[in-house]
Amino acid sequence: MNPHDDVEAYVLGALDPADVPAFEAHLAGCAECRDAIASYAGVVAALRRLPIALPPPLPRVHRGPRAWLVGGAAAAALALAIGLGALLTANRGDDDARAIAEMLGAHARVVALAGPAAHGSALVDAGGRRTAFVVSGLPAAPRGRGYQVWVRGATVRSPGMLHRLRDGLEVLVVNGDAIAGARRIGITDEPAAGSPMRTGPLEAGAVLPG
Amino acid sequence: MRLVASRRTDAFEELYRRHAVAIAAIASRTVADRGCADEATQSAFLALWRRAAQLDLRAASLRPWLMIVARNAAIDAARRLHPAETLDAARSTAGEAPLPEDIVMQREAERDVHAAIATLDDAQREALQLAFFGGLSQSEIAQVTGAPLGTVKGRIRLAMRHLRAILAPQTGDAT
Repeated sequence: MNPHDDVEAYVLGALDPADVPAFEAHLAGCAECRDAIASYAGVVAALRRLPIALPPPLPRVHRGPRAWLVGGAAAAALALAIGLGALLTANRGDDDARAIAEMLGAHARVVALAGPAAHGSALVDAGGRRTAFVVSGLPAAPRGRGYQVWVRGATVRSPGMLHRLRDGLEVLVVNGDAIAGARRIGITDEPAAGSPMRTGPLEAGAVLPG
Repeated sequence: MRLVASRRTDAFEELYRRHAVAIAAIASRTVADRGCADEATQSAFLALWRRAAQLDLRAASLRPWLMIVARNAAIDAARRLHPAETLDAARSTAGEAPLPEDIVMQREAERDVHAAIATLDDAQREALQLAFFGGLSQSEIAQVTGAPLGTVKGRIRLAMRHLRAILAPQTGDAT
């Protein structure tokens, strides 16, 4: 096939892996194809900006021939509507994305996080073995900066820094129940290495009852 | 799959954990309505549970199969919910607080992209969605849709050229 015809599949990431090296070798010497690829930047960016949703709860199934959906509170809890970004290729083995899917499948406890432009959730799996923080709507942090998670209970502690999954979604997955005893959860803009104390404005957060 | 076919719920849960993120991603990008997307994701896994014994799928083709089922279920759900509208049915904002301007603009941009995708012919749209949102290669798309590989390549090429013609002027990438 004419390699010029592979431009569109290449920009979509749909070129068969075996064909990629030959196409990239062709690209090195073909200004026309490089220009064509550049011409698709806006389309690809627009497609990536479409919001995606985290999975709904695992459907409840029974061993008989009938099966039905779990409804109500669990589904409502997952009205996460994680906007933006592409977990799109996270299906190719991103550990954190998988961990979050597992937690959703296992009916994690969900605390909604909200901020001026960002929103997301803190998820704790049923056994309190893992906690995930998932936030969308945050602009990419400039070099040297990052988003730090804070949990305030009797003391203030930080489970760590969020990291960006592809374009748009910021996540942190840690062991244990990182929000046990929390009265507030916050996410602030801090130096990339993490700050010993909160210095930046609140980007998203939650106040917990009790 | 064998374990699911023999009604092992733990095996079913494991398949959900492996594939749910990818399936929810394609469902939620096929239709704008969140409820339809969730319903479609669950429908795909329920179809797997009900039909596991009849399905002859290798492990590698399970995810594409789930994607097709979820995508079709999402389209069906959206048509049922919004029979008079196109697939880019606007998200309901009833009862929501006023949104900041940048979020309003983001939602308008989303609607533009859904509207552009809706103008593709069905086969082109399917190929594009499976490729970009589903992460499938052209060969995998050919396999799962039953279309010849050359046909799939043509659909992807035409779909992208069409989207570029519609979206490029808005995104400043006119060529």
